[in-house]
Amino acid sequence: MQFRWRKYRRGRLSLLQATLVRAVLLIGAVTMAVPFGWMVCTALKDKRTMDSEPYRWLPKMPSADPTVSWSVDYLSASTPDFEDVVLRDFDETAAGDDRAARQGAGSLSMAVDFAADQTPDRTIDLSSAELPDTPVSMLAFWLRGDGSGHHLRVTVHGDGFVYRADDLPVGFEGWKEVHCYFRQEQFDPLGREVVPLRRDPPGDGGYVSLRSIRKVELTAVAEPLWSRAWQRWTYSFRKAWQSMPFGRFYLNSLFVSLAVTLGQVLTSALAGYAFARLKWPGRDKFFLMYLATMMIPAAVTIVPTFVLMKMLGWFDTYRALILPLLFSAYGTFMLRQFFLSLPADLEDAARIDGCGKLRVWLHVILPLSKPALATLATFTFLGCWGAFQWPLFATQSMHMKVLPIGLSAFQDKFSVQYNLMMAASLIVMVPTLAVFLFNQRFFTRGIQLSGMKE
Amino acid sequence: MTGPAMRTVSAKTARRLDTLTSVLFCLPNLIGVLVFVVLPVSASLVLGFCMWRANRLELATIDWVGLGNFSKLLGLSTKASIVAVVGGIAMAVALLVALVVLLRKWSGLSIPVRWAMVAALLAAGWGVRAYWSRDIHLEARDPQFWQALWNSIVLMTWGVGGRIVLCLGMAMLLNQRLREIVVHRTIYFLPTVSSAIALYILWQALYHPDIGVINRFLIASRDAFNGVVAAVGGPETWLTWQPPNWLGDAGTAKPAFILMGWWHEMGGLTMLLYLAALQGIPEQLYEAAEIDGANAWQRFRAITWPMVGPTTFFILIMGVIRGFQGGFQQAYIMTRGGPAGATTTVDYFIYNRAFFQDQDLGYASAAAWVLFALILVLTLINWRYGQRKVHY
Amino acid sequence: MRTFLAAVIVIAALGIYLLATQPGETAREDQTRIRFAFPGDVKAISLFSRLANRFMELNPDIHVKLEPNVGDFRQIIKRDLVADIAPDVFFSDDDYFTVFADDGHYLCLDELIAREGYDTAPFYAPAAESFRWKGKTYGLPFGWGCSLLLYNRQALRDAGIDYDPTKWTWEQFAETVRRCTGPATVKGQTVQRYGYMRDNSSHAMCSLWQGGGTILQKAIVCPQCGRRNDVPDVAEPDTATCGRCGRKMTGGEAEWRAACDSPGALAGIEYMLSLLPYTPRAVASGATEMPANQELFAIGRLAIIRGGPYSAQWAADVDVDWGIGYFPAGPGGRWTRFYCDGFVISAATKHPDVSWRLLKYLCGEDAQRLLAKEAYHVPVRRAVAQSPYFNRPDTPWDESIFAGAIEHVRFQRKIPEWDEASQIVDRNFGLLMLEPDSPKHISAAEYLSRCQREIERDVFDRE
Repeated sequence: MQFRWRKYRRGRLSLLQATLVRAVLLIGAVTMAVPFGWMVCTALKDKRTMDSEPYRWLPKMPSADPTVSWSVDYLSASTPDFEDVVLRDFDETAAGDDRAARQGAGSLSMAVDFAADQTPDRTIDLSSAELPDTPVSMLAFWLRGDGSGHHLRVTVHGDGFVYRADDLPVGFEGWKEVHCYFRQEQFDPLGREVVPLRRDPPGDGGYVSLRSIRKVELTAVAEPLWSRAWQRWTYSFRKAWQSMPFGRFYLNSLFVSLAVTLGQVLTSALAGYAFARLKWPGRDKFFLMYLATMMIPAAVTIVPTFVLMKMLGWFDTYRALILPLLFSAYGTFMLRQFFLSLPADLEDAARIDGCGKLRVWLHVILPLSKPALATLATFTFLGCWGAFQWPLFATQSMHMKVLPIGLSAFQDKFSVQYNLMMAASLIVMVPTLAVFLFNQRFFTRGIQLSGMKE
Repeated sequence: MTGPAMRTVSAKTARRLDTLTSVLFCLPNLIGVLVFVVLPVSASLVLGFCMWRANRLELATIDWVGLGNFSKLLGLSTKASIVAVVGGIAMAVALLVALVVLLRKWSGLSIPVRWAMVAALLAAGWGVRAYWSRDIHLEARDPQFWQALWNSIVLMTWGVGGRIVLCLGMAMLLNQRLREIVVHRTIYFLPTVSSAIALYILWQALYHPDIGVINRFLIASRDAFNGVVAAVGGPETWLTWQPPNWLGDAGTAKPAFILMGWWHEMGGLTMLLYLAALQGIPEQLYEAAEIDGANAWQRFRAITWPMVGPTTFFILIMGVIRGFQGGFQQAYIMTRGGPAGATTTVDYFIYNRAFFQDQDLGYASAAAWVLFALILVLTLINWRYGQRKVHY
Repeated sequence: MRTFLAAVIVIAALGIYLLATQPGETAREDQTRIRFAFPGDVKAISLFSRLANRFMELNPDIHVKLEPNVGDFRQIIKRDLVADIAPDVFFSDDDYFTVFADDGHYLCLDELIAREGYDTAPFYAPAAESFRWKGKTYGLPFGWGCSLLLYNRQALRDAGIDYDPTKWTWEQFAETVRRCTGPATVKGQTVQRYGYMRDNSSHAMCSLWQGGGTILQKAIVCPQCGRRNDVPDVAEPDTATCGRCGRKMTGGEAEWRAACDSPGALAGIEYMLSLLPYTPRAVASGATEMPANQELFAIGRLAIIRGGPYSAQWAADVDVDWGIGYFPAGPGGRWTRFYCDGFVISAATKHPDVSWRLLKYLCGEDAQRLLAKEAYHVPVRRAVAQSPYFNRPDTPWDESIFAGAIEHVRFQRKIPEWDEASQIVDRNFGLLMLEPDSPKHISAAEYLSRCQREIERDVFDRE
């Protein structure tokens, strides 16, 4: 039998057969697609849209109205010691705990109609207020958004400087606190809307003296519909990405998975050949030992391996993440079975021609085993990419962690944030999908595991 | 290179050199496995005979208990009399012997006799089970372990069995020469490339009894059906059936897990293995069978099934080994061991005892080695039985 | 071959990049370095990095390395403590506080407190008490919380309920839940509404307390007259008085026993079970239960939901007019659960004084103010909790609610044996909450007697 790619050619299917097959496949595809569809749809929403009845599969498009109707209230500044200095409370007369009175009664209204060319700016002038000379780290105000998605531009003018920022998309409804940071701060992307301010001319990034702030300018900036829809639909993705250093997690996962895959395939191919074709004392006993080690659940080897890592001084390094996974009995087992299925005459011919073992392995065995190697590589890569327990135990620093650990941040003992979790897992899925698509062609070339007898 | 020039090296040295190079091939993997796999595994074997609450990393905190862990795990006691117990054991042994005899004589029996024997054995089995549970009321020292074992067996059997059937069927479907096949292959492979944790959380949301998509769909179908019935003139709410509480009801939790497992695996790596095996079957066999007048089912039984036999064998072995070792992540995220322990597998049991509940690593290791023994026995049975089937 | 080489090059490049961009040692030579670990969720990372940065600004001789631990914090910190790589200052939950304190992993702070005269009076009493064990202080509290009820005002109005949600009794609450269950009109649509949500094991305990029962009972044996006095968890031998001889029981021993098999406990559990028909169906895992119930509440299909300080953020976004109420009062009083988080210093630290400075800062006024603004917990300093910082102007959230709640929080001393006991309680609770026709279902009386028996046998080793 030749080991070439061979397509199952049975001639064309009759119309009835083809329709039947297509129908079954379609039903199956729908069953597969519906959960993923839910996943994607949830990732496109924010929490408020998720909790709405009647159940919507997709979030609504933003309204096409070229108007915004926002309200601003309670401008305050925050000192380095986290005290708030109220700069302007538009709500002077609010009393009692009636929610409406506290929120709506006296706020700065920003109702702008872009089409009618009304002025989109609101300026809060602080130059006349008797402000103390305290340093502040940020300005904060409450903004009632209308879900339109148009942008808010915050500009802070001071004595000889101006702080500008990227526009804030106002895609939320209801009151939310907006924090405008003067300095680089670690902000909570989920709880607040955050506007990092940049100084112009650039300064030393320190605190800003309150007295030197002259006015705060809020501008409504019109955005085209497609841009607003895009921002609404990618809200969860952006927030999920900002919550954890996913960039670093990605690279860590990629590095570890690739290294483990390469190492495993290499060592397993060498060892698999040694177990299959070469003779050496104790070969079969060692193979039985390999098989036996496969039958122990990982749970009880985590702690001893961890102790080993500590003794070797490898804790919290890449060595701890890669090396223990590099040597697996599964790969050796699988490749050994595969090598056994290859006809021995090819190798014998090569040996007679005078090739040493290494050359036989390199030039005869390996080229024939591409599908099996590709399969092993995919198995290993996918397994390593999704490994959670061991990397959790083996790392301590944030910059060493891998993707599954990052994903688990969206879930704790008491709740799961579905939209963020689904968005993050979609982001995480991309490379593995790419690996699969890349390896597709190998899979169709026949992985002959007919050598399972032994 | 042959000829007199080769005799400059003595045969013995040549053999030694040969062995050395063979060992060198194996060495990287061997050393790695010895250090990183065999060493921790041996440590866990030793721990199986100890109690270690792991307060500090000092040898002094490890207490030797000998077989204490194993007796606590597997200890069974009963209040029944000796006679009853001996009788029960005798019955079970007789049943096993009958089963083995039936298996040996299987091919020699006609079909009605086969069905009759199977029915008789099932009835006898049911009777023996009733006897054991009523008259010899066994009490286990750790009933959760036995429950976990049962759960593992059930989940693994349905999982591997279903997987073989489904993936083979899928592979046959996806082997057709249709233009959109590649798209289908990708869709079916999506669960494999996704993060397992994310998929478990996804399914947990789907399985929610009130707002999960599955039950919403079932309720909507029921209401639509009721609407149709009402429109035709029947009573208002004819069907009052409530969709099941998938993960919250002890009876439906395991089926829910099994269904989810099938969904995950339907187009996955097992299917790819089958696909490759199918593509290796020469079509002359099928053509010959068609000429001989065989219908589709006969073609499948005579050609397809035996030709993918080795793959099935491999999947069965790996399925048993891996199936018993898994189930922790699933149960932890979705049900925390399930309503009244219905989804606690042995893996979950081990993790739970090691890190959460008792935090006794020695006990958990003992459980892991009991599992090892079970897997070993099953694999050996598989291997022996599979050998006879694979030769074609 | 080419793929192989390409893979090697990519791996090598990645490896070099990753190793090169590892955050290096950012501390200066003259700074003392300490490590600070806490659960790595997003809010906590933001909160503690801002606090740590400010601390470093105020104390230029100290460098704090932040270690957010993503995942189960208890597991990770246990690994660190066992393997001797524990951080200097780290977060501690009151759930496992006594377990690690007993194992000697925490530094005793009494000396440091006495030396500086550190005043713990500004803290809420139960919070300060949470980090004392066997008469010694091992940590400082940071934030506390309790369970409250958020109710849908419209739902209660529709059902014609006019009881005060902060004063209701068992009967009134049960009636409210009953009347709110049924078809309701929300935004023009008819939906099935539920009155309340299922209790999990810890909230079933609240019902048990409301009935007058308890799971573990503390008793102090008077050294003078030998009488065994049943005392509440918070009582200590130094301050408790003997019931017979009237003297202080200084030097007396505290004993614990299981006492779940009482009529009060039974009444509590049966009350909880009586509410079940008006709740959504059971879900096996706690992690899904809350978001699902939150969704039901947000769409108006759940009239009353449990909440706590952690609910502030999601509740602010909800499109429902809601109010805050307390748990109902039963024959044994009004009780709700109390939890407190804080910080401890590792016993193996090399810089106890520097760690103490960080600890004081984290539990100091400035840090508490930031905590109040973030609405993560209730601040433990009464002054900060009562300040406007804690109130959220966009919700009915305000400190007076918690000030009222502290009157009826149940301080539970979570002794090391509580770990195992709570496992037993949880396991039996799972059986209690099965469908009544399920073969393994147990009744309330059976649940309590099993807990009693198994705790006495397995936890206290008394048959």
